[in-house]
Amino acid sequence: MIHAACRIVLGALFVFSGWTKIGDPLLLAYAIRAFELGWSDESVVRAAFVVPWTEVFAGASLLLGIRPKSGAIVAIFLLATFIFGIIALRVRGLDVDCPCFGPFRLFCAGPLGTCHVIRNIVFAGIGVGVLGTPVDRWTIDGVLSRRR
Amino acid sequence: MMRPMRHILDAVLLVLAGIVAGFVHAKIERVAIGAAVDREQSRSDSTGRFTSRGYPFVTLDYAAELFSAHAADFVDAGTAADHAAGKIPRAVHIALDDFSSGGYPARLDQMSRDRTIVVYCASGCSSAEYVAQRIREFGFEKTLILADGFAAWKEKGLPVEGRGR
Repeated sequence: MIHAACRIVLGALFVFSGWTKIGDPLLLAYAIRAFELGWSDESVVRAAFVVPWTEVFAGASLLLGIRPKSGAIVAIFLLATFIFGIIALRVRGLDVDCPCFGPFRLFCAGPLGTCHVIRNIVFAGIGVGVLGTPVDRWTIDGVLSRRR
Repeated sequence: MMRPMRHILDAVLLVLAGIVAGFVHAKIERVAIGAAVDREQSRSDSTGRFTSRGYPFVTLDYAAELFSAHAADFVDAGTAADHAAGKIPRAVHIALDDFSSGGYPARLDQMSRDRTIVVYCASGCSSAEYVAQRIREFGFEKTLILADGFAAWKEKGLPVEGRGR
């Protein structure tokens, strides 16, 4: 039951987050460029397309229950990257708008900061819940294995 | 021991799927942008202006005329590194992140709202469109985007400052 709840919540959040960004990837490009990684325009725009699609695939894997633990690993990896990125921005004193859910503000408003770090830690905690509990029976994987 | 390895391998596959989908999507968007601009460019008016997907563009030839007549200000929407490596002479650097968090780039103060502004980036890039859109939002109505970007400008042998990018 815990597994089902965790994967559905985290999966829905990731699909929503990815989907809102796919509509306008350049919103994310703004944020990536703010990190001043020295990437070319081309690389920044490519990353702005890759991140949302990776979120959608991880979210779909969790939501549908196709290799949900792998989806959780990807989700935790992305969240850890976001957390370190936000901390790096704060340390450098940079104010960057959160493109996390496209034009929507979920749980946190204003520039990337402490609230976003805490929110991502909570999401990562839900991901750990998916990893640490047995896979529930309402997954596609579960249905397929019962048919065999 | 086998199961965690399997989860990690599947996770790598998910990331790879994301990379492939992202690259394909970026490619399609770029192709769509390029095709729309090419199609509309043939319909440009006598002042070299045309609209593609709602964005106002200017042809390379007309932009070159504006440049030599000092009749427009040029804005480089590329990265700081690109700008340092090469630019259209007199071009001011205003990038995507200058507008993040609702920012107003101080360099816009150097420009007049009555003059034409031509925004460009490398080539086939979307940053010029976004920067032009933001500049227009600040009341610079005569903002245009250079069709085909800096690459075509350079290729045509038009004036360039710096080593080129």
